Amino acid sequence: MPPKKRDKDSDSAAKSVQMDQMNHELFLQAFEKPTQIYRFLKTRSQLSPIFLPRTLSYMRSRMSRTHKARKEFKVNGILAQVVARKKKEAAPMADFMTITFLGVYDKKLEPARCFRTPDQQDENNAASAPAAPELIKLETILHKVCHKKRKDVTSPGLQVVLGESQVPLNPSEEHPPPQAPTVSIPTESFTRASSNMVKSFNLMLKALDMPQPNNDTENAEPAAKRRRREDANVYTAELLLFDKNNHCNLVAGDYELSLKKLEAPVRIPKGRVNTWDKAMEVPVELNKGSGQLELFRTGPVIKFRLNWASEPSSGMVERPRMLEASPSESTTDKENSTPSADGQNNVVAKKKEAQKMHIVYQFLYNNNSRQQTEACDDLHCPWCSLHCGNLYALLKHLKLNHPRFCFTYVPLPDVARIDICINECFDGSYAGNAIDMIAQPPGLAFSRDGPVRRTCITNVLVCRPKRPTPSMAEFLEPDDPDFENQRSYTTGHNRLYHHTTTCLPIFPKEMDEDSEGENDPPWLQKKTMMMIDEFTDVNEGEKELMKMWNLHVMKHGYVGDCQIPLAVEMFIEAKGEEVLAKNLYRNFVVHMSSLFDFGLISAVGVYTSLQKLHELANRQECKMELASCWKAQRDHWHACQKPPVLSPNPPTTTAAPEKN
Amino acid sequence: MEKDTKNRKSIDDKNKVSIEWKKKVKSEYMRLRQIKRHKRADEIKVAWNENRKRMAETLQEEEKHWQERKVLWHCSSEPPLHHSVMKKAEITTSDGEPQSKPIRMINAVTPIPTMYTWAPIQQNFMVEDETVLHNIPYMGDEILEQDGAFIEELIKNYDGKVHGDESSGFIDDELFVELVDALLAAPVEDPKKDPKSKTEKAPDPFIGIFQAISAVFPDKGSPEELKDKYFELTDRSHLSTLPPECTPNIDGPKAQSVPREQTMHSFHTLFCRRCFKYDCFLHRLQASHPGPSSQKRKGPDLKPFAEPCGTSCYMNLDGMKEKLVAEKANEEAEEKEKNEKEKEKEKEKQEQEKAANGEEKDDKMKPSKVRKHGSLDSGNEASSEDSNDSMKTKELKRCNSKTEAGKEQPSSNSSCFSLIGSVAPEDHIEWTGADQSLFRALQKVFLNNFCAIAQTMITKTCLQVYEFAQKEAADIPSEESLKDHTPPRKKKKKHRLWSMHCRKIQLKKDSSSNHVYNFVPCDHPNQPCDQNCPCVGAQNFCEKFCQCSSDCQNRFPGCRCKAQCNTKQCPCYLAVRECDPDLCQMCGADQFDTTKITCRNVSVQRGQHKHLLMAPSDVAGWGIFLKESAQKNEFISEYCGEIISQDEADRRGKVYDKYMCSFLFNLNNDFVVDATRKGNKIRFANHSINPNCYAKVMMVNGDHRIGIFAKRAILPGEELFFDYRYGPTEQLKFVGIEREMEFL
Repeated sequence: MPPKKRDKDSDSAAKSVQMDQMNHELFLQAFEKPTQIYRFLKTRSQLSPIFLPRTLSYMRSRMSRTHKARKEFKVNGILAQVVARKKKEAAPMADFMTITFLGVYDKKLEPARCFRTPDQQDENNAASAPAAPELIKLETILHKVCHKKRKDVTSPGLQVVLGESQVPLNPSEEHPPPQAPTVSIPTESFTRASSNMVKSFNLMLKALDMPQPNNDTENAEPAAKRRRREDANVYTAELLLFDKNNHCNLVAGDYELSLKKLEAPVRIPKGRVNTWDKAMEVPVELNKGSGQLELFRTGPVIKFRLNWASEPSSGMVERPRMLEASPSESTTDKENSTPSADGQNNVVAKKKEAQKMHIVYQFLYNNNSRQQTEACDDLHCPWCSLHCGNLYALLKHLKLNHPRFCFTYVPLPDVARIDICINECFDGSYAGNAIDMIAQPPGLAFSRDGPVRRTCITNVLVCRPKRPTPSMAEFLEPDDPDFENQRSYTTGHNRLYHHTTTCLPIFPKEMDEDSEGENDPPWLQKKTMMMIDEFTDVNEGEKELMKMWNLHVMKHGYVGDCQIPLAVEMFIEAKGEEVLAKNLYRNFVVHMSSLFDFGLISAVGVYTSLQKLHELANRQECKMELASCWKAQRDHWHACQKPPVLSPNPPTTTAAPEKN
Repeated sequence: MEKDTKNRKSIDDKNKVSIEWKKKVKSEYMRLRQIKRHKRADEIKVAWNENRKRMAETLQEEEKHWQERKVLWHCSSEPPLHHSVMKKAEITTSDGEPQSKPIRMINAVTPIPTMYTWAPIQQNFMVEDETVLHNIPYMGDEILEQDGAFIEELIKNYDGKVHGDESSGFIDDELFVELVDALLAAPVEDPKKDPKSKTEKAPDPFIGIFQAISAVFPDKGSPEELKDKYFELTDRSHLSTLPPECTPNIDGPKAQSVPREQTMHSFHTLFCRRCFKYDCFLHRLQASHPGPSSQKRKGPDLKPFAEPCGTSCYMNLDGMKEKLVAEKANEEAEEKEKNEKEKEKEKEKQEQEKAANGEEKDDKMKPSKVRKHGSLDSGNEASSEDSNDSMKTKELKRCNSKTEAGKEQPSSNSSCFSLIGSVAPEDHIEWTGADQSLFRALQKVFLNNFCAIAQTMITKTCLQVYEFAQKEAADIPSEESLKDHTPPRKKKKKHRLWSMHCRKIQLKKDSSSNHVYNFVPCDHPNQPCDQNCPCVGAQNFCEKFCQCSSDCQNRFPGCRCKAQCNTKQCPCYLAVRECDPDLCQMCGADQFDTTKITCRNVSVQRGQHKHLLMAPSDVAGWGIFLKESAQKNEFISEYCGEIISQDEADRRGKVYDKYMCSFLFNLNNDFVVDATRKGNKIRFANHSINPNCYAKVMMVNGDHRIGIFAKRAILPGEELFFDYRYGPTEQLKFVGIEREMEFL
């Protein structure tokens, strides 16, 4: 040992550098393939996810809804539930829709206002603020969109003005005005019975005299222009109440509508917030265009509360308390997080408010630390950018989803280190449906060629396993690295079977038939016929009958003497006609007396079974055939009357007549 | 003296003719062989073409099958949606136009283990010893080169006989006759030899030829022998096309009148009483193949009908009825007497039994006593047969309602089929050979019931049959002495005692060596089954196939379980036998419909094997997997294969040893099951020292058969293993895989 060490020590520095470089190269090579594979898988699962991570037990944090309702679920209660829901659906139709306007917000105005009123606010703190908001005249119009006739360019509409109200502009959140204007719309006005031409109902809000946002330029403009601008200062917002299928998608809650200039009346039913349900965060579809979302941030917005009530309310009501309505930040980051990781070690950190857990990934190769990432508190998986929520989930995810690596958790005082090395024992063999392996081309299993039976390799089990309580200890370095978990837990037919004689794969639809299981395989049938044919001293009639009998017995497999009468009966049923047609009647009689000689059938049995054969003969046309055969026999007998054959072998009983 | 002259003469002759004749013989021989070879080549060609055709048909069928299956790969020509990102194969044609096609990858199909062809069977198949090495086993070139000693040793095992190794002097009977015939025709063509051949032909046209042949093929015998052989061979073919021992077809036009034995000969000799088949696959040895026991008649007999069967019935003869009545009365009286006797005996026996119960310890003394008693009762059938008979009659009732009315006996007025009406009355008076033979065959069955015989013969009236019978005076005694060869055992012996007896025998078996001998039905007329009986000697029970009485001491009584017969409570289970359908009826072993059987101890004979699936094993080579689950001790499958003798197994084992793959399984002391060439799926089960199956040799209706059973509960999809080392007879046989396993 010592000399070796010395050798190493005496290595020149250049050499060691070279070695280091080589090692580094090797390290990169080793990690390249799995990383690329996992990157590919990431993209694939983003495009067509196989499952949702939130369904995993360790990914609880990603689950946004509870299953509390399931606990109370009763099968018998389904009807009641549906009835209740129906009632609820029906309810809005019978009542009034009340809209309470909370205010018009325009952020562009705000800075100016803020800029203008700092001294004001400084001076009379809370008292002056409530009085401040200026009022905007808001017209509520019910817009009935009618069916477009062919010649019409735009769909004709019908507008009914429902009321006018004074809505505060940019009321302060801290000190909202005590009262808010409301408009009640009777639901009768939504009935389309009167004019069947009405396609849908829209609610149109028209802010008549919106102040111009750019206050600083206000004075600079000429008066004429200014007047014109007054006219143009009409902002509208539209909200679909009833679509053409007469569905109302509006539930009670706070709504924000962005106001647009009249020229382009765009309705954006965005930012809906369900108030009654603890103001839960509803994910917002981002991909429709962040431009529209931008509108909310920059453009004027009107906020109102929509209620379904049984009584109309008009004029001013007490202003309801403002609900938390900031749908932007926290929801965006759910399932739609944009990939931020790039590569194996370059993790972009993202600020998270609560957990200040710093994570360091350390890459090991040949038991040497090769690379270490910066400490960050990102809980995204570096390979699939999946946000795991907490460290435990992250580790569990890494361990289960990236088996090409080995992950070891090393808790350090201020940081959590995750050691990564290549898993030497990784078994990349296919563990899915065995049939897919021979199904060509690959992926045929998912083809849409029509229904194809597949082997079931997954059994649906209702199982509530006792899961060990999540503990970080499972990721620590194991004391003795033995592979106790190598045994496969899957049972069932998770392999490809082959036919025993041809070695061809057994397809799922063939699984149920037991091939090569019959008692009389074709070759054996042929064999028994050949064996009987080989006899030289057995005549053709005997051979034919013996073959028929053998095939019959082989097919049915009679096991005992007591079954022979039944065998004979079945033989006559199955092959009686054939026996007669082949002119084997006497051979059959001889066969029966042979069975009798062997003690397998009684005389009565012989008699009754022959009677059965007679019945068949009576029914059949073979009577003629038998008669003709008999005739041929007689003719031959007459032709060679007293043939010499009789004499050499005289029947044993010929001497008997003398005795008598 | 004579010999000397003969020899000299032959030598002289040889000298005279040797050169020309030898040449002739040789050239003729070569010509014939050439013809043969051509013929054979043609045959092979035809067979080859036939096979190709069949293969093509099968392929076509398979193709059609595939088309229907919808799992066919439709290689669509249009590129898939993502073809822009697919790898492409590109080529530039001669005119500079680039072409490209997306590359589609096909999964690599994992190779499957090697498999040597085998034929599926569900029952054992006995084959003869091979005296000739059929092929020199190929195990790769290295072995052939390196291990020449092995092949040599192998050939030595077969006394140096290798198939197709015959010398060029090969000549068989057919070729011999053809050669002689050709030579006979040839001499005329040779003008040079004309005078000489004439002179020689005059005394004996052939002798020169035979001398020449003998000279060319010295191993075929002397000219005289050849001559005799030639005559023998030609005689046969001249006289009739059929060999002499072949009886003409009884249904054919050339049917002859032959004695009963001759009519029945083929049926009697070829029928296997154990398989109920003709020329069965399993009982190929003469010893295991008993002929019909002429002594036993299976009841009930067909009594003469009470009523005449028609206008031409023999009963309508004068005085016939009175005669019959008298006979019947006689018979009845006899019967009564017999019954009384029986009762008496019964009483006696009961008394004796009481005495015997008192001193149970000398069980061995009983047989002698019993024998004494047995000799007293003559001509009555065993009580055990009663159950059989009643069952039979039940069956008859089921199949023929007519019999019900006639008190178990079918009456004569059945709507019988006959050919008599179809011909002129004077025509059917004549008794043709077929009629005579058929009558003789039937008379033994129906005895004096001429009505039944006539009805069965369909060509003769009852009266004619009667008259012919009188003429033949087939003086078969109306009541054959039904005396059994072996004295029956005591009647109505308590079942309890019997189970004890079984246990005793079982114990004896266990305590002594593990030798299990093949069962051969015993046949020792007029001797009880004692120490000299082969069954007793081999520690086997006598079976129903034995020629001894059904009351024989050594017979197994069967069980009377009402349950499933899968515990040691069942005497059959205890004796490692499957329930015999002719002995055990309480458990339903006799039912043909397998769904009606409650007995679980009939799985081997009924072939109630589990559905097995073959796949590459997790251990080595192929493996066999269970489709559905199995309970502990449940029957999995029978281990089927060729039944070969121990000697043959030794010879074959040498080769299997080399291949490191053996399917040999010891059956008993006489035979081995070899599943190499024929077998069933369980042959793929691998060896394990911690198996989930076990093997058990069971006596199943007189045959030893290997059952594979579940050692523990087995789940679907599990691979089956059993411990080859503890085979059915606990004899270690070589197993290739096992060797590998032991190193692990």
